[in-house]
Amino acid sequence: MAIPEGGAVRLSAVTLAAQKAGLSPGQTLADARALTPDVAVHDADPAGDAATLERIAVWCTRYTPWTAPSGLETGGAAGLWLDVSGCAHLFAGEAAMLDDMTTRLAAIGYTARAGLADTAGAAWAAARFGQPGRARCVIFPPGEHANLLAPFPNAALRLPADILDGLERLGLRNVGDLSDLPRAGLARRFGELPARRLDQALGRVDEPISPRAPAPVWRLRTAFAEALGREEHIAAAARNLTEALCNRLARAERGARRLELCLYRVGGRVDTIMAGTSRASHDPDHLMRLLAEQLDRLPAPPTSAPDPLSAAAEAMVETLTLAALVTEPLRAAQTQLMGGRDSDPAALERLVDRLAGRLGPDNVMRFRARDTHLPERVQEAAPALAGSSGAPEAPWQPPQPRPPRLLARPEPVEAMAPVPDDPPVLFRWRGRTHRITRAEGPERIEPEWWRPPEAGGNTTALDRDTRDYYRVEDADGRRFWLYREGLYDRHTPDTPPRWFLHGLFG
Amino acid sequence: MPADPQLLQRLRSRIAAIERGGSGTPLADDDGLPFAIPEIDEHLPWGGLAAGAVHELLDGDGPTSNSTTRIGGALNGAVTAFAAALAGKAQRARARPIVWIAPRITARESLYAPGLAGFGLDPADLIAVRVPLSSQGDGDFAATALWAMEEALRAPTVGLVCAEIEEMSLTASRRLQLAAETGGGMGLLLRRDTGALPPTASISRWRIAALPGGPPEYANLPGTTRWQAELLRARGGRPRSWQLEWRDDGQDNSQTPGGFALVPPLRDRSLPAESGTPDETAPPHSAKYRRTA
Repeated sequence: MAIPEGGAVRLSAVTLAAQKAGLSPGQTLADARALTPDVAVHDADPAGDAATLERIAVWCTRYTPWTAPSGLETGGAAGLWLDVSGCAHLFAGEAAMLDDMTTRLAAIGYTARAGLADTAGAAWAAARFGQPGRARCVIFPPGEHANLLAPFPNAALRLPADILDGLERLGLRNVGDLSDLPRAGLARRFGELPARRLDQALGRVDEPISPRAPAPVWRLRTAFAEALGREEHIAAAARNLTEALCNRLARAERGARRLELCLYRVGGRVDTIMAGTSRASHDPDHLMRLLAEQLDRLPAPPTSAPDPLSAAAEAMVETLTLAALVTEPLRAAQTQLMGGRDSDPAALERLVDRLAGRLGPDNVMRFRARDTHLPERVQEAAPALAGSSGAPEAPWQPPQPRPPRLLARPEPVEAMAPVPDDPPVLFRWRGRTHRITRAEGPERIEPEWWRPPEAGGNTTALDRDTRDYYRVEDADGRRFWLYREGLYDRHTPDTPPRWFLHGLFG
Repeated sequence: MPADPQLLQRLRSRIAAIERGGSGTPLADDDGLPFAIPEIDEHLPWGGLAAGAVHELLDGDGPTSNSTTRIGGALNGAVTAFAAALAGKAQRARARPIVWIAPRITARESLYAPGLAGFGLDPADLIAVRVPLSSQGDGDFAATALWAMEEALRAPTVGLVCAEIEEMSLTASRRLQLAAETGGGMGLLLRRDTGALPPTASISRWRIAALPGGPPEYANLPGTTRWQAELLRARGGRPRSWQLEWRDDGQDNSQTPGGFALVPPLRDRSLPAESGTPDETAPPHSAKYRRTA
């Protein structure tokens, strides 16, 4: 891999074979070609590397929810942080867990080395400079990291090249040498970085690392001895997880508002399903239905496998995790929608959640009245179960009749209105002519001049002018809500008044 | 001694439940939705609109409703108001919220809560469900809308489900009817009258059209809302047509919702010729409904 850097094309990463041939990251491409004329060079793709690293970080959430990609800026030294505190026993111990990790990563095409220690710095050093055994893992037993780190080279302390050169020139060859030095002298020559890295590696100072996503408190995981291929088996496993999670939530008297189900597939892909509830719930039936709804419609994972059989194998699921990302204490207060005889408010919530899960929460709504006299602004969409706060809502029925259907944008009509301030006698709308036999009006509605134009620049004169509304009935009994824009006497013969249709009456 | 009409209704609903093969819960005696007009309720086999069933309301907006000049995307005010009035009755009678499913395209002609309230439907207990038109075309939309209606019909806490779905196969219609039977819900399908609708499993089909309004007749003001309600088909019943009007019992914004009433026999005001005679024994579109039924 090569990348342009500081005027020269330099190697950013080399394969094991290239390393043996004497190449190393940081060499210019010209030098590399001189050493090994037949070297194969590819353009480095830092963005692609970052994306891949992120994917592996997601993949690693099967071991611990707390994962973070690290050290992308140092190119080939990139890696992943995993905080496995309290997780190893789930995998029969630390060694077995790291073994499992590197083996599975190898199976999906990544060669990995793992280091495990009390501190992040020591783990970093262990993974990169330790002498791995068969399983490519180095584990520092608890409390041993100071002794074990001593023979490691200075590079194990995550120091930049210029500092490493300086230390080398002073004859400080390993971490042990460095830790014996008086701090003041070290800081004077090299700044505070070496001492800080040393303290971090030895656990004398804390090293905060931001995880990729905050670790959820409510999280359960299940791994299968044999990967699951059939949908009903996956659903059954998800069901078990849901029940276990609900039991825990119930004991804590909490309910889930947001759930995340992760399917870790054999091919290394992780599918995530999110489900939301409108009210905290720990009802396994309900939550499972929400998840199943999306589980059923999960698209087949894209695959690079050559034949359908191996594609199916790659799509098999080996681990499932279920997390309640957002939980709330269960409240006794229930929905304010009507609770009739033998009706169960929770059943309505379940319906709303299922509809919202498939159609999107914005598409399941309730109307709320706004205190305005502009017809199109009177009604407002609110979440279907956003428990009305108890504030008295504006009355729905205005003194004048209103149509049950309103056009979102009033539509211009060709109208014949021979008498000023009278409703038209004839109008044409959507290709159909209506002869008006009866009419009522005008009802004058003034614009809300105090309101600034709506964002988006959709405001036209139409919204800023006085409207005179008429309720009209045509010869067949159809009723419409028409209005004339502007005051009649403002119009000249050149600019006749414009008529609009705004609603359909019953 | 004449039979007690209530007893007859109960027996009829039992028979209806048995006819459905006992697959569903038998209709509760009081779960139907009467019009509160004896003439209609006694004509219908279920003493009103049956619960645990789907009913279709066709938008009978005159002869052009199946031509290209039809009101694009919109169902007319008349059928909307009729459905809103029925939904409002169900809301009160069953004390449960209403679910109204509409395609997003009718965001152009959105439901308007103040107007619905005028027909006795309380918007505070109305859940509006918009089904987005997907990029995959209308077929996908119809499937999603049908799924939503099925879900709502199966939910025991919904008073009535109203859905604006145009395209529907007989199979889809059967699924809806089955969902209503098992869940005990009541469904209203609002559809355009294309003149050649496929057969349906819904247990009744109506065509609702606007009629020139009732009184007041002075000063040429639009009067009370009136409909021509044609019962085109009813399982176990005969087609018939009525002229109905909406009576706002409480004037001046009072809390009492209005109700349906039969249009009183013609007295002093002549109807426009094309609306036909108001005599309800001879419906004006009788030829049409025989063809469609």
